[in-house]
Amino acid sequence: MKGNTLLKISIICAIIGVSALYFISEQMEVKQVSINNLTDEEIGKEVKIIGRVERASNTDKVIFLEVGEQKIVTVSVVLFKDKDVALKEGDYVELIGTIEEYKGEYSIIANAVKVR
Amino acid sequence: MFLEILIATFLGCLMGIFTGLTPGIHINLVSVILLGISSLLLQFVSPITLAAFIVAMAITHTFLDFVPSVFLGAPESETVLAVLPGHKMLLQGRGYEAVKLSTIGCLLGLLLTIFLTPLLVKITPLVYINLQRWIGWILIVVVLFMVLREKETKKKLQSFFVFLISGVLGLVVFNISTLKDPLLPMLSGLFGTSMLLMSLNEKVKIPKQKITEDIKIEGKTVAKSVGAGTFSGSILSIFPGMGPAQAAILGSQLTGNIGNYGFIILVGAIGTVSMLMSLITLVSIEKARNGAIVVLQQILGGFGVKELTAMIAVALIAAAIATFISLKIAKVFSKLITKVNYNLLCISIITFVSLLVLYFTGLIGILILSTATAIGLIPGIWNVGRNHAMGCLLLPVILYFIL
Repeated sequence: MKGNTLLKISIICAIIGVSALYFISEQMEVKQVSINNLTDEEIGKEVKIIGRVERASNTDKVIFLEVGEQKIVTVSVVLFKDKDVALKEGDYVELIGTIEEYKGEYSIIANAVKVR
Repeated sequence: MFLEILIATFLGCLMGIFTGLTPGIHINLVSVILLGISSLLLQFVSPITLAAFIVAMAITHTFLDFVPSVFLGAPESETVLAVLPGHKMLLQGRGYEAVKLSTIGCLLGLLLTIFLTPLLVKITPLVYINLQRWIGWILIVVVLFMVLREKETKKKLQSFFVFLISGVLGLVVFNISTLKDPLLPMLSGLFGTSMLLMSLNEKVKIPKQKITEDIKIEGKTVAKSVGAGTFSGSILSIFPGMGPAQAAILGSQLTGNIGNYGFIILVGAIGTVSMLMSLITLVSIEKARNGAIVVLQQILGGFGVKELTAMIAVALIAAAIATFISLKIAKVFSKLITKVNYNLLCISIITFVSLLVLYFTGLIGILILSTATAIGLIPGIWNVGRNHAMGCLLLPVILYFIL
């Protein structure tokens, strides 16, 4: 095997790897949506919302939240707890979850939450 | 997100270089520490970024851990059998070539596995269900073949004795429930410190190392070694209890005589393939087959085809970086190794390994290290294959599968 063959193969690997990663990461990026502009098209899709916790009610296994960007428009969020999560009214949160429709209203089943 | 993952990949490569070059520091240790601080890190980065760090580290580690195996004779479970031909090449002044061969195995094995990924995702569940009950018997045939391959009857009996005594040691060591890392003292003793003691006794002098850029090896041998390495590396990731060394023995029996060059390529391929393959088993049979992948699974929660594709891209980047770095470092080691006092180096490594064993496994580890070192000296004195000492892993695995 020639001395620089390995180097050539590894350069090709790096180029393919970086390009593939670029396209995949674009697809993996969760789209950020505004609570005010939720539409039926987003039902079932994973989205990211950022807002203020207007109301929080904690149970053993789940947290129910009302999250709003402005005081008037809010969306219900259900967060199943796999560890202790402390959220309170007034917290600014970034949520990633799937949009569902429940009793004619949009709600988000969250799978990740970050307090900002 | 792209930039975040790319930075994590580079950092993972750096960590993989550190774990690969430092005998006794395994990626599982780093992964567990990462899991411990993951809740803090996840406030700033996404889970896929941490996963990229782990995969880049794991892949880089499989490339780099051959360097200490060849130059210092300090093996880890992945490289334990390659130490023997690798160290032999070092004593012939061809240590750089040995590292280059293992790098060829790692890189080509990785590429072949990526090429076969769609097929592997489909057939892994079938192999897992159908082959599990036969694996113990397959390993018995492999062991018999290994022992019977020795030329004289006396050597056959001596080899079998080495296999049995190492096997009994393995059974005892794996039954010590309080021992967190049983492989460290056992493998270091059987293949590391015993070989270094032999070198000290024989007053080994390391010759000037040649930097050979063009390696004369037939394409057929490379293809056979990479093919067998990919096959055995895949099998090893599907079945619990199998380790890289058993896979290497299985692979070398499949290929027939591939010589030292082919064998090093084969062992190189197994390490990297099994690491990538453990991501494939996570998707296809939902089983995490090593510590780092368990941590990755816990951080990510779910692991699907999209995540697998991203991790394959990360693995490609890491492999490219690791190829470049491992050859550079091997060049540096080749220059340094003749300048240092080899006897002093051997003593320092034995001391370092003993301290590591003491730190990670306590006094019981030192006892295991001493016993394993004593057993590891036997094949050298009798002049039979040191690979029979792999009984320490093969016997417990065979009993696990057939009992």
